[in-house]
Amino acid sequence: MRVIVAEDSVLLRMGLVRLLEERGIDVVAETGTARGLLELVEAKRPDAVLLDVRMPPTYTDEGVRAAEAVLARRSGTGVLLLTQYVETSAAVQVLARSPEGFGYLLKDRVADPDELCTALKRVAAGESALDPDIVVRLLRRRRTQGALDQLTDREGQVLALMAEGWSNDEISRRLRVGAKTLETHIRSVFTKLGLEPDAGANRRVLAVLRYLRA
Amino acid sequence: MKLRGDRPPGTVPLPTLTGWGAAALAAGLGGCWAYARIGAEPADLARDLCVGWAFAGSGLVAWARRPANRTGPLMLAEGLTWFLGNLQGTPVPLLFTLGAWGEALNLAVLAHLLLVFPDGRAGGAGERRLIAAGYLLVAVGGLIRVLLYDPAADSSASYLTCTDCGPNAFLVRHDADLFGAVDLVYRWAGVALTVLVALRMVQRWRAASPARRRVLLPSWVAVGLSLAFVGWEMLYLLMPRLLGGADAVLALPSDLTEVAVPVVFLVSLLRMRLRRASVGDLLVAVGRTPTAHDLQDTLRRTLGDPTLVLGLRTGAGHADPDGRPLPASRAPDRDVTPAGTDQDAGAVLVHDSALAEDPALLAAACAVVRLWRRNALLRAQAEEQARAARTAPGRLLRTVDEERRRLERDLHDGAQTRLVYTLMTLRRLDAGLPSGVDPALRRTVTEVEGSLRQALEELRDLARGIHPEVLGRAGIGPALTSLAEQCPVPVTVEAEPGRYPPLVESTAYFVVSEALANAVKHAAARRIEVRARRSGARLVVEVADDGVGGVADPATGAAAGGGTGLTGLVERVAAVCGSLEVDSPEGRGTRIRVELPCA
Repeated sequence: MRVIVAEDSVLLRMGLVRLLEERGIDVVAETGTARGLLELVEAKRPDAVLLDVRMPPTYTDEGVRAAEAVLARRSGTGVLLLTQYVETSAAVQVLARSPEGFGYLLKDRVADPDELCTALKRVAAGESALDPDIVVRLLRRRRTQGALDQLTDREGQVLALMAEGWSNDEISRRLRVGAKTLETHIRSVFTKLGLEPDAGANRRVLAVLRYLRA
Repeated sequence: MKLRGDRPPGTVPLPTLTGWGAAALAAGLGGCWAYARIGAEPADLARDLCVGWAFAGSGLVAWARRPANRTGPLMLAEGLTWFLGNLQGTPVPLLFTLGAWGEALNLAVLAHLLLVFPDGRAGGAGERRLIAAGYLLVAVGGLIRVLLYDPAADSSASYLTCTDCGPNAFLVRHDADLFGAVDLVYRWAGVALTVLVALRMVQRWRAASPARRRVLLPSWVAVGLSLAFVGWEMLYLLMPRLLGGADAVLALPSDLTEVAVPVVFLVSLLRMRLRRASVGDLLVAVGRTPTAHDLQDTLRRTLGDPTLVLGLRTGAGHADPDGRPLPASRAPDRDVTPAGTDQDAGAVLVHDSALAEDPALLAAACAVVRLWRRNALLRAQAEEQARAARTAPGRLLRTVDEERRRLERDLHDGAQTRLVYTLMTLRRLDAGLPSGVDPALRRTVTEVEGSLRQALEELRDLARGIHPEVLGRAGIGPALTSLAEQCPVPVTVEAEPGRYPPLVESTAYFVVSEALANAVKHAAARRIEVRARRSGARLVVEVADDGVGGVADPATGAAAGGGTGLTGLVERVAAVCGSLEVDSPEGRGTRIRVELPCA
């Protein structure tokens, strides 16, 4: 897998590159700014870009805009956005436009090489990948509001995995349920929450996220 | 600080004034004694004293008030010479001669006075020649006449009935015909001079500005009366028979003229005093903080000069209240009086030169202008300070806001990043540990990792509290949604997309954050609605919950129930010149509405 690392902290960028290379991932370029990233992507045609939300010069939305720009090319390059905060507006903003090949991970996650690489592989494959911690937070909040009372425990688990962007195959593998059973659970969740059923794993991430944020 | 023009330069010493006053008194009494000696009636005496002393008194007052002006001494001289003719009534021949010679001296002095009034200076060579001609006529013509004058023979040649006068010490030769001819020429020369003086006065009147005419009025009255007198005298000379008892008839306009002039002069002085009293009106006007225009109008009225212009400093020159620059060069008959202090020539009065006649009045007007300017300056300073005081909290907040952004970024770039890197390295260390390692060591590494994650979590919360990253990145709408995400109670957010000034966004965020916390903690709300939209140049934010209500309005203090933590909001909103309303009826929820100006 060929990856570009865009991170403004030299220290962290160095650590990330080393970590990825140790895992056999080919870091084809690294950069400290979001400016010029698109040209870099055009030139190197990587499978994925690992990108910090906050980049110079203003450290506000440079990373988000770069992610949108890369995904808008629809050339098969996925984007994994690293965030410092458990906050989903950036994810929703990007997902609303480009539901495929986008991941949103808490920065702490880079300490878990397996999870980081898995997420990179998923966005490279065009899937979605939302940080489990963020999903857990959103679910916990909705649960305290009583919005998820009608869901069974199993349905709750299905909802969480859907929010994280997993495909049906992966969900049934993880929960050890058959494909048919899973589909029943999914339908039930959608009906109970009053959501439009949507078969595509990527598109339903947005629907579930929007529901959870409400 | 010395104020210019408060007092004319120099003063007349009191002994000098008292001395001249005593001289006038003595001259009057002596003159009367001589006048009475040759049979004057008490009424004549009274009239004679009235005129002489009126001139002398008015002259002394004018001299004391305006020492630099020759008008006062001239009036005093008029009063003293008035009694000169009466010396013809003394039994001393030399004094008689002196009286007969200087009988008309007071008329020359009067002409002098009229021609130099009110400045005390002759306006030109023509006027100076007229004045000199008057004195020359009395000195030479009067001398020639007195050499031929025998009072015993020509008793009607004087205004006195002088049958017992004399003898004339200078009498060279008596010839009734010769004396009659000389006397007639002498009188006609006097009439001619009087007419010339009168014509000059008419010329001056026609050329004068309104302000100067006002000042010239006394001399104008005098000229009018003099002309009447001349008319009578001509009639007497040409047709003495027609008039019959001419002496008595002639005495009336003559005396009227002479009495009227000092009286009119006195009235003029009195009017100046009255005008000076109207400086009080100016002060009242200044108290109403007038515009430059209003002040100029008031000054025009008070000083009686409709052409007066109040010039205010603009850059290098001065401009009138309409902003038109004043001409740099001085126009004739126009004076420019600086109305500022020595240090500050911020204002000038451009006025008719005639106003210089009463420097004290002008000085008072200038003082009023200074007062007005100082008032305006103080008011401007006070307003500036009030404005600064109003905007200071906003400026301070903006600084604090910027500081918080910087601090959050520093935390993100520094400590957070380094902690993440440390966590990464620790995981590498953990992964690199051989399988047979002491389990205690592995436990320690796990403990350190847990502690690091905890530190990261706490640091993240701290940074978010200092400044929410989403606010700077995505603006108030996503930031409010983020707030809603963290709220344990369902919150619907309706926010128009759009960005506002950073401090407005931070304030709105702070308000909603506080309002949400309040609704959850105190109001037991089950649903909360947050709305943010632009209304004109303002950001309007509303937070409504379905809680217990009864929250005190922190702005009005109208406590409907248990007071809560909304007081901090009022100050925060007021600091950015916004407004906050709280509507919280008991049991019917709470609605908070904040309007923040975006300018």
